[in-house]
Amino acid sequence: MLAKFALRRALAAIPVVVGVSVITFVLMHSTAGSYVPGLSLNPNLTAQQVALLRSQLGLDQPLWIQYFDWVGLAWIVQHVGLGGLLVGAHDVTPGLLQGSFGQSMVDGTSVTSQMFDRLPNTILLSLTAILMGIVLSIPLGVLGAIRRGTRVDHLLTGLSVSGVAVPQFWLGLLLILVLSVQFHAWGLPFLPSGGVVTPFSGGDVLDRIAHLVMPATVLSFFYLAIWSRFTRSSMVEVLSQDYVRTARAKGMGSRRVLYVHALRNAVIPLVTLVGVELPGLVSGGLVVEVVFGWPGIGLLTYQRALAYDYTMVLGLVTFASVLVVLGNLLADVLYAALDPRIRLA
Amino acid sequence: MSTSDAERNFDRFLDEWSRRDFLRGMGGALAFSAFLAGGVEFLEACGGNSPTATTEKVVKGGHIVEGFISDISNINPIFINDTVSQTVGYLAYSRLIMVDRAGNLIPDLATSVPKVDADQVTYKATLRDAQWSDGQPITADDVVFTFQLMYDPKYKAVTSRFRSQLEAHLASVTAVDQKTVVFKTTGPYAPFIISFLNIGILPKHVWEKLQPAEINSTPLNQVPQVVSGAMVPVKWDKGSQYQMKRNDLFWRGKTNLDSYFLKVVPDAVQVANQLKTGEIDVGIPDLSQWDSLANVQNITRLSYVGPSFDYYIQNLDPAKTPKAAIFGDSQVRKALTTALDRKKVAEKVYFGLAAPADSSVSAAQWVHTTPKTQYPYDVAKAEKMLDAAGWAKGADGVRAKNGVRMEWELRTNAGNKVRETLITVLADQWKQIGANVTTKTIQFPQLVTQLSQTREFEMILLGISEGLDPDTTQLWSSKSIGGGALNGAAYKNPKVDDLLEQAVQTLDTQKRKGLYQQIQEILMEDLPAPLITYPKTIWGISKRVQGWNQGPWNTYAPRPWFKDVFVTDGK
Amino acid sequence: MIDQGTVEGLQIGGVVPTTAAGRPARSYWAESWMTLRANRVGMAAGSLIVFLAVVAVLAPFVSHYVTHIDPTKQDLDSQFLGPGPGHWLGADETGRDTFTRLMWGAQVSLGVGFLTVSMQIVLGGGVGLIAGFFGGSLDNVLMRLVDMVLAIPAIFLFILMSILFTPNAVTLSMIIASVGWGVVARLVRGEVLSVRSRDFMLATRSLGASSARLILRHLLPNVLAVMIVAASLNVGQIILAEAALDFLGFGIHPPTPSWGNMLSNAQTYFTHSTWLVIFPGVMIFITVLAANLFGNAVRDAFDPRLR
Repeated sequence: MLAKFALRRALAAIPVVVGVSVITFVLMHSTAGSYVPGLSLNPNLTAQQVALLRSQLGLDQPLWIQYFDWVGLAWIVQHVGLGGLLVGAHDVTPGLLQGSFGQSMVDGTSVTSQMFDRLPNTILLSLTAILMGIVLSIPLGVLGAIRRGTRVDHLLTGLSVSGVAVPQFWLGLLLILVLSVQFHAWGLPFLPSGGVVTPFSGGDVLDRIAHLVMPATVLSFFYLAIWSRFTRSSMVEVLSQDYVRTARAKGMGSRRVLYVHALRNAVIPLVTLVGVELPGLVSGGLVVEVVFGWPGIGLLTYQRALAYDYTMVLGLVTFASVLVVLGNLLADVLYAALDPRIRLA
Repeated sequence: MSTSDAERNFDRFLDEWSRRDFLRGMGGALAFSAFLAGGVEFLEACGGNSPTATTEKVVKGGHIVEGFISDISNINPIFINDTVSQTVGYLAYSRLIMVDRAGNLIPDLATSVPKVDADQVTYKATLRDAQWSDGQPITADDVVFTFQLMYDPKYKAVTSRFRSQLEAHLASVTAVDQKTVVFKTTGPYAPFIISFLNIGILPKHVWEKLQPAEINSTPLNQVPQVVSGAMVPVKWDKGSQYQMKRNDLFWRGKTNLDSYFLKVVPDAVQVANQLKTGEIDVGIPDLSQWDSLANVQNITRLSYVGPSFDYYIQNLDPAKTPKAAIFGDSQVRKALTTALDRKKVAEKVYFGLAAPADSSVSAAQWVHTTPKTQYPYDVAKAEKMLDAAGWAKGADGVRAKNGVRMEWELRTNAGNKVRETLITVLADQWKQIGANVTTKTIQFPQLVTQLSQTREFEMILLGISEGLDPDTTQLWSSKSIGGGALNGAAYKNPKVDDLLEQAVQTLDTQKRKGLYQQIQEILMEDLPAPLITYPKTIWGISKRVQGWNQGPWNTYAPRPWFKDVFVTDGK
Repeated sequence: MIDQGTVEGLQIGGVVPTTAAGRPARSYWAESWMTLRANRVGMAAGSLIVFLAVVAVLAPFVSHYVTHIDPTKQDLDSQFLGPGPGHWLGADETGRDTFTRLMWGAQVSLGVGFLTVSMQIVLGGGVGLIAGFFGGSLDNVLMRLVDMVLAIPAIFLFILMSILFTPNAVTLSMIIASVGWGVVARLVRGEVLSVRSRDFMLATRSLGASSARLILRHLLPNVLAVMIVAASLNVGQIILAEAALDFLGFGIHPPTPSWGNMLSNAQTYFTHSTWLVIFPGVMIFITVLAANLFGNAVRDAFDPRLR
């Protein structure tokens, strides 16, 4: 039964999530000793202030206690009244289980507020890229399939093979140089080179689209390359199948055959491919976000990693990983819903 | 130049330089003829021009977008320590006194710049009539409260960066009446006014409601609701932009602009791009972009020499690094600085936008002097010095003495392209005289930790942006080793310590200057951390922005002229 | 990239029951190799990779004896020169020769690429073999571990690890390998499970063949094929990932030249010299393209699942 399958998968996912949190936590804390929090704010902190900050943040506690704090178990223990079990007299703040990832070591803002502020931007970018990928790869794949073996097909294949080999940051850089800087220098209408909206005058749909075009194109390039090839080969397969030949023999117009039957069957496997990308929705665009200054989760991770803001980075990596697990879970359940054979596995 | 232009420029010239030794030193006529010959560029070089001063009619309304390469972190005056936050913080909060673009102190919330009493420790500040943006009056209680947050034991949990300095120098701060505040220092302390009286004031009626520990992390640190400056914060789109609108209750009057946006731009090169495309109106582009902005129709360029310098610090502490054996040799230090082609570096690495350094303070500081001892570029001389000092070249070209090889690691912070190129060039120039220098870039917080806390480094390249007060205790005093202070070299010279102490207690400017000049002479002999260049600051300003009166002391400082900035299209 | 599903059982020619009479017409490996040889595009791509590898290895030699230009040799007066007699592909902001640096950069890209792939194969293959062969709770634990590692988005993990351990070429390879090995482990495990379940395996065991013999003669060849395919398909993506890390500032730092950090440098100076932006990007592109084409050819020839 689907529900049982879903439950089983969900239960199997829990240890994975716990494991991820432990791994990222341990990795991050391996350098905690050398890091002085708040330093980029106040390089003039005295040794006493540093010690005070470290103890306020619980950094002088043993590692497993810090983990308990962070996850939120310490908070539960304290509120249930077993506080005496906790070593040390540090402030126990709400943790993961209470929905808090703690506070940034650099500016004190809450990690969750930064994350959820940026999340819509990342999702917008990723979804747009995926949509562009789907919308463009279907006609390109179909074209390649119909014109199989011709120069058009070879050109498309060449483009798709190249598309997978182009470094995203290079492509992004070149696009900015040409479509933004050069176009403006030549007096042509140009695309904005970064950010989400134009301050003050921006915010309308057209402005947002103008800002979205380049980063979404770069991000979708990779998808486009793979999916158009896949669509082409599955189209080719479907077109050669018996029922298609039968339909044509029966006299159905070739157009009709193509669009109604073949396409539908060729596109279904594409869904699987898209599904594979869904878990990476939040994290896949990091390089693009950095090149275009797109204020999303990826850019935030990048900046905060450079600033050694380890509560923030820890929160972001854990969050992204949890999304991956959830994405996989969702995908598994969807496939199981579509294909009964999988449920029995 | 038309006559009226020339007249206006000359007025400005006199205005800017009348308080400085410059005219006296050069002779007025000589100075003026040099000025006429050089014209606007001369003023520019002196750091005194504003290319957007204009006779255009003031247009009310509109917005301006300023581009910055990082987002704000905390704009609360008692915490602020990065340039972006400062820029926004200064627009939001007023303070007792301010600094104008030429480096003069001017009153802000105080009716006049306080002068120290005869007892040399008491300062009295009288507040003018001004209001918070919610209508409440700004009173002496607000001032006292702000200072208590920073140094009172009751607020120990608040980690203000001023705490240790205030605890050392402030004896008391009291509100005598609604409009008068009296400060008493622990002893005569010359930097007092500049260091502490330009900290923004917080509204007591808002902040007293918070617990001390809450103050460190409240969202009011980023988007305060009640302010006293030219603009009121509206919205913070994290990582994207910060929006402010006109404060109608600002004591100087309403600004011409309706709103101000701070836009976060990925890097300094993108600042130039976005200036060209008009996505931002003002910003500081990367030095390498100066030429590319030259012929852009809608941009004016501005450059000036500010109070800053780039320098390298040699770790002289044998307890921290064995390389101290290399740097401990004074001949080596002299040879290293002699082997630096500062002119070439200024020309090629800074794209001509820097001047070779010639002392231990920036050229913009009023105490600057050119010490008698100088080290003009001379590779042959440097090699001879090292030969004579016993550092013989080995088979691989690297010098050594007593088993110690001349090799070390030079570090700087990542993200600053000029510095990253500079360390590569320095390593190469020192390779010519037989030193094997490896380079490494690390993140800024780590670098600062290594310099000011752990002191585990061999050589660091860094830049300093000086404050208005010439006190350099933080850099050169033996008390400033570790614990967050900047004497990473661990330089110990009792004579310098003594001079520094005297200088902060000397309230007579002429006497102070003499003391600092002695210090500069000594430092040029000792060379613990030689300066390399005085970099210029460059701005790109859209032609639609008028009145953007940036000057050397204003780069990230309060902008008293902000009220008069306007945009020609009023949008 | 490689799909993560389990392997359907397909006979691999070459794993022949010991009781069969007669000789096989051709061994599995020989046949695969011939298929690969016939793929002209793949072979061309492979030759290019070999050529680049040779260039990378010989870079110091070429610098010293042929061009007499060191990758670190500066000349501030040659700043930003375009391609010309003294500098075939131009010079950068300190006057260093672009051509020389591209040559040396190949060492980083290809070196890290091959090293990473090898680590992925060894670690992933080892874990997959153990999990598939021994099964049971060991299999469970190992596969959960793989799930955990695969749950962390690759680039995030790279960044996390790079700020913790300053990377040199070897540690960078380890960092990048820390993600891909999971996929290899799953594939190998799947292959092991599939081979184990086949009839001839049961037959051979019932005849008394020892575990070691089973592993060596029957399991390894299939698994090896899968690992080779996985390796070839991965190399391109690894080179891209390494270049991206260098570009972001988390990988190899200047002054050691790498194509990625040359591009990140070029970003600042594009108004002075667009050549600086073009050449390193082109190098990355053709290397990854060649690696991908060759990888596809290898998969077409060697993948047991495609027979």
